[in-house]
Amino acid sequence: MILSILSVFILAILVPTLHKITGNKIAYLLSLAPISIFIALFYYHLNGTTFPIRESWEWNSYFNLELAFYLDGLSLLFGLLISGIGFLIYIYAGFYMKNAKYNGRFFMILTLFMGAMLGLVLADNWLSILVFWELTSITSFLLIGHKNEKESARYAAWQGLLVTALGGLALLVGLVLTGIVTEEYTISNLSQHHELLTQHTLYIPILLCVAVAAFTKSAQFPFHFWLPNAMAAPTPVSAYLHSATMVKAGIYFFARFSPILGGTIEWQILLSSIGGITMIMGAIMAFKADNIKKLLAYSTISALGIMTMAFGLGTETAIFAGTVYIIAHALYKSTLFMMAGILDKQTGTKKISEFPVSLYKKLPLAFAIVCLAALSFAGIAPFFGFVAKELLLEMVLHSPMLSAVYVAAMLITSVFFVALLFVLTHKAFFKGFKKPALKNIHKGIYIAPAVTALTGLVFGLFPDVLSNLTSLASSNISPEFESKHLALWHGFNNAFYLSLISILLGASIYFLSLKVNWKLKLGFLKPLQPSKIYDFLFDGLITFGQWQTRKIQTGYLRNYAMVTLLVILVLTGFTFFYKAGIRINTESLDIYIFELILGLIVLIALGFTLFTSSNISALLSLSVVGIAISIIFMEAGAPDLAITFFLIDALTITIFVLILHKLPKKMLRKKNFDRIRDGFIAVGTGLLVTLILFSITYNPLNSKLKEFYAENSYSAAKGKNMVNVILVDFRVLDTLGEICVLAIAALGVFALVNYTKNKKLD
Amino acid sequence: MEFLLSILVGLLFAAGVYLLLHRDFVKLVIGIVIIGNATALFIFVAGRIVRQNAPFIQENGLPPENFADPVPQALILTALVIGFGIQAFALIVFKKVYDIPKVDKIDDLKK
Repeated sequence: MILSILSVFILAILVPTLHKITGNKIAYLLSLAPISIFIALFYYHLNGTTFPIRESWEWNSYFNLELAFYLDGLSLLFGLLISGIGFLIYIYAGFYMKNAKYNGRFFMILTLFMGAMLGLVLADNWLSILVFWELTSITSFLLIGHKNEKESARYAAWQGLLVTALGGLALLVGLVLTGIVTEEYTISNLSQHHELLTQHTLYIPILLCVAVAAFTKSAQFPFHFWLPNAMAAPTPVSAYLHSATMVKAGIYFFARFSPILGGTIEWQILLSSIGGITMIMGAIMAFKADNIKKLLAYSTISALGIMTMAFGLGTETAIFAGTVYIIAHALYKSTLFMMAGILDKQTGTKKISEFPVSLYKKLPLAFAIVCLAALSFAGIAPFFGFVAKELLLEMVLHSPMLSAVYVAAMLITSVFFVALLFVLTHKAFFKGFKKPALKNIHKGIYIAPAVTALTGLVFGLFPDVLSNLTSLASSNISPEFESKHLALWHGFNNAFYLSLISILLGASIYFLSLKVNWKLKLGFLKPLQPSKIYDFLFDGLITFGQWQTRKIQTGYLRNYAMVTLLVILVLTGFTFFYKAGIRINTESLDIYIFELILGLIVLIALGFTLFTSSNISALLSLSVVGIAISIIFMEAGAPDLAITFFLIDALTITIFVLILHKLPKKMLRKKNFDRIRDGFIAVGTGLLVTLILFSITYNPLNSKLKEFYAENSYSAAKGKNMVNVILVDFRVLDTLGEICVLAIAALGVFALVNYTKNKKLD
Repeated sequence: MEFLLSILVGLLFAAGVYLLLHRDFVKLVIGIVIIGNATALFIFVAGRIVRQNAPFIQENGLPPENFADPVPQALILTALVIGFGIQAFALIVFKKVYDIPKVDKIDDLKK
C-alpha cells in the first residue's frame, strides 16, 4: 500500500515532464495508475485475503508517529471507488481537456489529489490522516481554482479551502483530544476504547470536533455552501469531487468513527438531524436550480445528507443502506456530471432553460446515458439506485426513534429526486427553447459516462455481486454486523409502497412546476444564509487585518519603540510584583557626601539634556553625565571601566560634534500629549529598573567566579589585573568577537562616509 | 552605595526612554547613548559594589582581602566597546539620511 500511494505521488511530480513528451495522451498514460491500483485492490478482494491488512513504518515511537496504512473492508470499498472512478475520470478528462491550457498542471494536481484521497482512506496513524486530509483540501483548492483567470473560480477555491481547512483544524483538535483520553494514536485500535471514550467528559467536544470536520468536508448544513460554488472547477474535477472523493471523505470519517464514537444518543441526534436537514434542503435547492451543474451539486449535498443520516442512525440496516448508497451515488453522480460536461461542450450552455429544442433527436446517445443514470438517481427499478433506495426506506421505517419524522424526511427527499429525474430528462431533452447550434466533439468522450451508467444497470440487475463487499465494509463500521445479501426485488412491502408514492408525487410536482411558477418567499432569510455569514466573516477578517496593520505598522520608529517598551514594562512589571515584590537592603544606605554630590551632578546634567532645545548644550550635558559615571566607576573599584568609559564618551561626543553642523538646526519639540504619555512610560521604566535593582541587591552575592579568578589569574595567566586577564586570556574569544563587531562597524562607517551619489554617477 | 546607584540607574533609564521616544533625531541618538550607559551601570550594580578595592593581585601574588567583582567589569567593558560601535554607526547612518533631499525629520522617512 505504501508503495502504491508513493508511486502515485511520484507520478504526479513527473506529470509536467511527461506532458511535454506525450501531450494530450498524458491522461491515458496516467489512467494506468488508478486502474492498476483498482486491479490490485480487486485482486485482494476476490482472492479471499483475510482483512485487515496493516503496513507500517516506524518513525518516532516517542511521539507515536508512524507511517501506517490499514486496509479493511471499508477502506477497500472507498479505495475501489476512488481508483475505479478515478480511472474513468482520466479517460473522460483526456477528451474533455484536449488542447486545454495548462494541462500539465491540471493533471499533476489531479493525480496528487487522487493520491491524497487514497492515502486518506488507507491511513491509520492520526498524523498521517491529518496530513492527507489537508492535502485533499489544498489540492482541491488548486483544482477548483484551475481557471484562475476567473474571479468566480478564485472565490470558490478560497471558500472551499477556508471551509475545509476549518474542518481540518477541528479534526486536529478532535484527534488530539482522543489521543489524550485514550493514549492511542492508531485509528484502527481506537474502537477498543469505545466505552472509555463515550463515557468520558470530553466525549461531547471530541464528537463535535470530528463531526464538524466531516460536515465541512461533506458539505453538510451549515457548511454546504462551498460545494455548489466548487463547480467552478473543470467538469472532470467536479465529477470526481462529487462522486467518489473529497465530499465522500467526510462520509468515510463518519463510517470510520462509528465504532469509535458512535452508538450514543448524542451521535444519533447530531448526525441524523444535520443529515436530515441537509438532505431536504439540498433536494429542494436542486429542484430550484437552473444551471445543470448547480442542480447536480445540490443533489450531491442532499445525497450526502442521506448518508450522514444513515450513519447517524447506526442500526444494522442503516449502515448497510448507507454503504450501498455510497456506491450507487458514486456511479450515477459521476455519470451525470460527466454528461453535464458533454452537454455544456456541445450546446455551449449549462442552463437547462437555454438548451436547444428537442435535444433527444440530436444527441440520442447522451439522452440514453442520462436516462440510465437519472433513473438510478431517482431510485427506479431495475437500477442500482433502486436497491439502495429500498434499503434506505427500510432503514427509516425501522429507525430506533422518531420513525415517522425520518420517513417523512426521506419521502420528501425521494419525491424531489424523482422530480429531478424529470428535470434532467424531460425538461433538458424535450422542452428546449433555442435553435440548435451544436458543436461536434469526439465520440470517445462518451466512453467513461457510459461505463458508469451501465455499471449502475448491471449492479441493479445483479446486486448480489456486491453483497460481499458491502457486508465486509458494514462489518467494519458496526462490529456486530451480520453479512446480508442484496436483492433487487424485496416483494410488496412498505418500502416498495413508499417508493411508488414518491414516484407519483415527484412526477406531479414536476409537471405542476411547469405550469405554475411558484417562488418560495424566503427573502427575509437571506442575511442569515451561511454563505452570507461566510462573506461577512471573510470581509471582516480582511478589514480587521488592514486596520490592525495600519495601527501596528505605523512606520514611525518611536511607535515601535513605545510598543516594545510597554510590553517589557507590563510583562516584567507583572512578573516582578507577582513573584518578587519590593525589597530594600538597608545596609546599602551608607552613602558618602561625595557620592551624593556626584549623583546630584548627574541629575542636573540629565535634566538639562532632557529639556534643552539646543543641540550643542544637550551634547555638553551628556558628556557631563558620562564623566560623572566614569568617576563613579573609579570610586567603585573599577579603574579599567572608568578609563574606557571616559574614552568612549569623549569619542562619541566628538563624532557627534563633527556631524552636528550637517544636521537641521531647529530642534523638534514633543507635543503636549506625547510629553505626558512618554513621561509616564519613562517614569514607569525607571521606577521598575530601580525596584528590580533594589530587589537584586537585597541578598549578598556569593560568586564562585570571583574566587576562581582571584586564585588563577596570577598563577595560570600571569596577570595581576583580573579584569584584564579575563578579557585577554580566560574569555579571549569573546574579545575577538567584540573586535570583529567593532571592525565591521568601522568598515560601515568608513563606507558611508566615503559614499556619495555623485561618485557613483562618475 | 547600591541604594544611590540603583536610583541613579532608574533615572538614567527614564531619561533614556523619554529621549528614545523623541521625534528629534539628535535627542533620539542621545537617548540611545544614555540607555547604553544605564545598562552598563545596571550590570555593575547588580554585581554588587565594593568601594575602591580594584580587582588587582597584590605584589605578594595574593588577592586583596575584599575586592570588586571582576566578572561584571569584564562584561561591561565588552558591552561598552560594542555599544560605541553601534553609536558611531547610527550617527553616520542618520547623517547620511539627512543628506537625502527633502528629508529633514525622521518621520519623513516613512514617505
